[in-house]
Order: sequence, then structure tokens, then C-alpha cells
Amino acid sequence: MSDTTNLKEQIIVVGKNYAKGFTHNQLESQIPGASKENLAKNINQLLQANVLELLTGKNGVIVYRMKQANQGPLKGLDESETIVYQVIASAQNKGSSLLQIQNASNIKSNLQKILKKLVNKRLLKTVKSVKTPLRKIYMLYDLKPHEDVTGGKWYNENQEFEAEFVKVLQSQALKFLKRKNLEITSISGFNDNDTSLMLLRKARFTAEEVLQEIMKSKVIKVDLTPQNMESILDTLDYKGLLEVTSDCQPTGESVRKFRYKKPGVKQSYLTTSPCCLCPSVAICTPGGSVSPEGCVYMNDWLEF
Amino acid sequence: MTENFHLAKELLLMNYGEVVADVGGCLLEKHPIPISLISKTTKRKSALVKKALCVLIQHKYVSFTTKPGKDVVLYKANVNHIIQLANIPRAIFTTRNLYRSQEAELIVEKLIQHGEMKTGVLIKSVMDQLKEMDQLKGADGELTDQKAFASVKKAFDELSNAHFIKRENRLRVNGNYPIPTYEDENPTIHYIPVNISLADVMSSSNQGKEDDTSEPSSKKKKEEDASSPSPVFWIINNARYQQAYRDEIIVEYVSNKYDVIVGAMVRAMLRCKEGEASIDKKELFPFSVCEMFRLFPREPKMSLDMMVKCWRELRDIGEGMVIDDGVEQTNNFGIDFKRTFQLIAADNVYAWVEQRYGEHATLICRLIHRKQRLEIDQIGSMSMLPLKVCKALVYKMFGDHVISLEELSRHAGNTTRKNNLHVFHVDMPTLARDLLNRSHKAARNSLILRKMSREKNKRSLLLREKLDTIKENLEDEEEKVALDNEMDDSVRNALNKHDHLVDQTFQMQMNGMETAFIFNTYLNLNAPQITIKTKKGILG
Repeated sequence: MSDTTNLKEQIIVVGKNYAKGFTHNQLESQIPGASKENLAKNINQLLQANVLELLTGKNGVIVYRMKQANQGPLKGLDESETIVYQVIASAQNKGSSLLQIQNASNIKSNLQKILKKLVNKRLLKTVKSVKTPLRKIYMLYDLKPHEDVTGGKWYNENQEFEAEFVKVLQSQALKFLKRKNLEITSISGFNDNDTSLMLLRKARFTAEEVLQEIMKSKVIKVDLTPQNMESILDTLDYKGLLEVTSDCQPTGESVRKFRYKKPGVKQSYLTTSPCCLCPSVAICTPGGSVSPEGCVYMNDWLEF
Repeated sequence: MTENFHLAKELLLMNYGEVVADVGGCLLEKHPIPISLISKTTKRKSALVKKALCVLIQHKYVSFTTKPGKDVVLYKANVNHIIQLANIPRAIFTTRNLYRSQEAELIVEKLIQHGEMKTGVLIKSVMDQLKEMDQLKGADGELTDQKAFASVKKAFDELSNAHFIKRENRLRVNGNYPIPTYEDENPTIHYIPVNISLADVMSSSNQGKEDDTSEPSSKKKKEEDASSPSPVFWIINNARYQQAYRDEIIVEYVSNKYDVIVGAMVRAMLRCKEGEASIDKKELFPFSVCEMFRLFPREPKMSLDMMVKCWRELRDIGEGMVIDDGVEQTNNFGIDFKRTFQLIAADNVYAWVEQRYGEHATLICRLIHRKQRLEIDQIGSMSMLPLKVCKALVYKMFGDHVISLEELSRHAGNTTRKNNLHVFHVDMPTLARDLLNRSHKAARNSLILRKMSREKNKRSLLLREKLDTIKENLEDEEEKVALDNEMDDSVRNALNKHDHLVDQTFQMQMNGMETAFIFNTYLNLNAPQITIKTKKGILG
């Protein structure tokens, strides 16, 4: 027994000396008197006691390494729980869904129990993603969820879209750009130096300048970044209310500038004629069940 | 049949009667076909069909050809020419705006009415109408004729120089060949003004009274050369009018988007190169700013340097409407008609989407069109709309075929459903075609409504006509008022309603034709080029 204990201690000493791990040959050279059987037996016992861990080195060589004692949050966790914790930790503040954890850790049975245990220990927390509101996302307890998960400034604590807030920002931005456009272009036509089109250059502003103007007015109290403002201005561009140009700065970088623009088509006939808006136009025939002579929309339009 | 065919048939019915409408409708449905088949389909005698064909050929709505190797003459209708009937008021209005002379307006009206006319007959009929309208007061008849002739001839020359009217192709009868063929003439001959005197007009008009202009030109023998005035027939040049409409639309669009000064610059450019910017051209090739500067109006004053700066700015911010030749120093600019009409058509489509589905739908539509293909999640995040609202709108527009769905494979070669992306895109040409049909339908419905209202109020309209004729001969105002009071209130209300309907539907028709023109031009300019390879070569 004392020989066995002695041999185990010797193996542990070798393990401490070879912090990165040792092969069987290296162990035999360090402990020359021990028989192969004894060495194998003791190594197995140390593996079962979780003192050593088995790894595969280069060219498939078996390597033994002293197992690091679980420190910090991993203290007291078993192997499966540690693996699950490490998988979730690698996803950082974007979190992982159940499926992603299953695929990465290869643990399918008892995964729910492991996750519940870790959540109860306050090592993990569950978060709802705005993109997949029906699925739970797991992440480390102390981490702040990423904007992709929470939706950023546009979603409140209950993960509901703040449509009113976006609307207010859009109207403030549009008001500012419209006002500036009017101020600049109403400098009667043009003078000797600037044509009316050249004056439009001065009516272009970056997202940062628009944001500064809105913050000055103190209409909103939330801190926004120029990127947030750019998203808002992009939606106004998609509504056809703004013109976006890329100006090249002296430093060589390209900056996006926004300007209020008038619509090219003031009023389209398509928006006033009842036939163009009618949902039943395909089946409308003279004398039919849907016909121009008996059309309700047409009668309303004529009376108007 | 698409809506333009229905509209064409309705226009023929309104302008020429049932027989011509039946024959025209038959040719629109199945063409080209011979007279025997037309007669069989329309169940009318061949003599009647021939008369109807005479009218249609004279107005260039129908053309004729033969089957290769056979002596059968086949007739074919041209729907685009027939639809121009709905644009007559616009043509007259355009002539009035450009020339501001009654003579030019009357010349165009006469040519539209008759299809084609001999030079002398045309000038004489316009002179007679002017005299009737009491426009010219001269000391004696001869002087009045001289003045009238001078003003009409001047208008005639202006119209032919601007290519709004042109000489008809001369036909040549070829022996035993069943149909006459057009002579191979230099197209520039078509616009040469006539060298004609008042005496020629008076003598040819006497011949013209016997020589009925309603006979088809294919049956007439045309005389010798282009310089001799009398035998030359004149027609309206529809392509030139369409070019004028196109230019008007572009100038209006640019004026609305930027300002009237920029609109004036574009108008000057288009006027400068009228001859090189026909309706089928995809771009106006860049040319020097100095040339267009000469045609720029005096007010507001603008220097050449300023104009160059303006054009450069417009090229940079105009979304591709203005093009240059790539060399900075030369200051040559042109217009890309294809790109301009893409923008105009798109703006019209978005206005329609906004009216029909709302502001958020327009945002989604514009976003998808800009980015070409997007998934539903991407649409939600980029449009900054709640995903639920976004999905509802997307699926509603998808159901109405405003946007289309495409399935793309995530990985090349792997086409399992699980791995496919479902992306939405806006097919602008399909939407434009749908809205074009709607515009034609609206124009047709306006014709139908006017016709029905006229039939319903026939008696009241006749009564009003009689009263108006009597009132013209009365001088006493009290008697006129008494005559007015003889009409019942109900009849008066019905007539007011009828007048209101006529005004509204007429406006609807004109606006519909203008919108149809925009989409038609867009589709023609953006039509994909299809090449067909045959054994003999490639067909463009």
C-alpha cells in the first residue's frame, strides 16, 4: 500500500513538473523502477479520482495532465455542467439557444436539468430575443445582452417595439432638414456665385449633425449614437422624403449626408381615379355584376 | 385581350360607329386576316366590311400585306394608333401651347378628322373655317383670302418644319401584285414644306370636292414628284407628338423635384436636339452646354458658367438622369431617357402603393426595390417597423401581386427546402404593366359612362340644344331668361349632373392616357432585348 501511495505521489510530482502534460515514456524515464503494470494501475486510479486527465497529443500520442481544480464559478460543477457553462460563455453577450448548446456540447439528455441547476446557482440567466421571442436564450449571469438580442434603443424592457419613440425621432429629423432646406433655397433663386442647385449642397447634413440638433431641442432624453440616427434617417430615405449622398472628406473617408427632397410626382392620377384603386377592377365589365355604371366608388367620386 | 384592345374598340365605336368598331375589333382579336374571314366573323356583307376597312386604312389604324406565295390580302390592326384617338384633345392642346395660333390648331384638327388630306384641300378647308369664325376682316374678299392663305401657309410650314405633320408615303401599283407598295423614299422628304400658291389652293380645292378624301389611298394613283404640291397627302406625325409629350413630362418632373429654373434648362436642352431625340431613343447623346445656352429664355438671367455648374450638380445628384461624355473639360451633357422614366414610373407606382396600402407599405416597397432582394426579417429590421406589422403588410402586398417571392438555395447544389432562403422583390415592369392596364380601363370606363349619360339624358340634351338655338336669334335679355325658365328644375338638375359627369370623366380619360403614356414609354425603353438564333442568323 505504501508503495502504491508512493508511486502515486511520484506520478503527481512528475505531473506537476510537466505542467503541459506527459507521455507514458516520459513517466517511465522519470520513475525507472516501476513496472508497467503498476504504473498503468496507478494512472487509472488517478484518472478515476479526477487528479489526472487524459488527452490526445500530436500524432495520436496519449498524454496525461494534472487536472486544474475548478476555480471560481466552475467550482463544484461536474464535467457536463462545466462543458455547458463553457459553451454558453463562448457565445458571450449574444447568448445561445437550447439547440445551439445541444449541438456544441453534444449533450442531449439531462440538458434541461443542467441548465436549470446553473440558472438556480446564478451562473446563467435566460433572456428573450426580439428576433425569436418564443425561444429562450441562455447567457452568463453578469453579462449585458447584446443589442441584437434586446433590440437596442428601439425596444423597451418588455421587449416591445417603441413605435412612438421612432416616430418622434423621424418627425424631429424631418422637421429640421425641411426647415434648413427651406431657409437655404429661399435665398431668392440664385446669385452670381451659387445656382439654386449649388445651394442645395449647403442643405445636406450628416447623421451626427442632425442628432446634435435634436438633442439641443431636448425633445428626447435617451442617449443615441450617430449610427442610431442614421438608421432613422435611412427609414426617411425609404419613405422617399430624403436624398442621400456620399461626400468624400479631405481625409479620404466617405461620409453620408442627408437632405430633404421634394417629390418628383406631385399628384399622380393613379391616386385619384377610382378605377386605379379599385380592388375589383379585374372583374369589372359593362353590364356585369361589377360594372362602371353601377360602381359605388365611381358614384362617390362623381358626387365629390 | 388586354385592356388596350377593349379601349381601342370603344374608341372606334364612339368615333366611327358600330360597323367600323366591329371590323376593327375583329382585326384586333385575330390578325392578320383576309376580308372573307372578317365578313364571316362580324356577320356583315363584304361590301360593308370593305367600306369600314377604307375608313380604318385612311386613318392608318389598319395596314395590309400579302401572304408569301399567295394572292390573298391580309389586314392587320394597329392598337397603338387606334388608342391615339383618346389623345386627340391633348394633341390639339399641345399644338395650341407650342404655336399659340388658331391656324395650327385647325390644321391638326382637320388632319385628325380626315386621316390624310391633300395639301390644297387642307389649306382651303382651314381658310374657310377661319372665315366662318370671323377671324379676318378684310376690305374685300380677295384680300381676306390672301391674308387667310398667308397665315395658314405660315402655320403649315411651321408644323412641317417641326415634323408635327408629314407627307404620306407614296404608293406604287405594281402590275399584277395584289397590293400597292410604298416607294422607297428618303425619310427627310416627308418634312419638306410645300411650294404652293393661293391659285393652286383654289384650283385644287375645286378638284377636291369631286375627289372625295374618304377613298382609300391604296386605290388612288399618286402623281409624280414630291415638289409638285397638289398630289401630296399629309398626315399627323404621331411619333413627334409622343416626343413632345415625353419632353413635357420630363420637364414637369424635373421642375417639381428641383425648381423651375432647372426645368427651363432641361427644356432648352430637349428643344435644342429635337431632331435627335425621337421617342424610341434611350438617351440624348451629350452635347455642348453652349448650344443649349442659346435657347435658354432671357428671364431669369443666367451666365454660361452658372449653367455649367448647374449641369454638373444635376449630373451628381440627379440619380443618373443627366449623363456626360466622361471628359470634365468639355462640358457636354445629355439625358438618359431610360433612367428618367424608371424614376418617373417608380414615383408613380409608389404614390399608388401609398394611396392603396398606406405609408408603411410604401416604405417597405421602396426598401425592397432599393435592396432588390430581402428576407422578411431583414425587411423588419431595416424598415424599423414592428415585425408583426411588417409581416402583415408584406403578405398583403404579396397576395395582391405587388411584391413577389423567390426561393434561393443557401448552398450551391443543395436544393432541400430547409436550406432555401425566401426573399421578396419588387418586379417593377410587371407592376407597371398592371397599372397601365388599369389606366386603360379607367379611360374606357369614362367613355362608357359618358355614352350612358348621353343616352339617359338624350331628350333633355335635345331640349337644351333647341332652346340654345332659339336664344341665339333673340336679342332681348328678358326673353332669354323667360326661355330659360321654361325648363323644368328636374331637367335642369339632370343636365347639370350630366355636365358634371362629362367634365369629370373627360378629365379622368385625359389623365388616364397621360399615365398610360408614362408606363408605356417606361416599358418600351426598359424592354429586355431578346435575340433569337435561327439557321439563317440572329434575329434582334
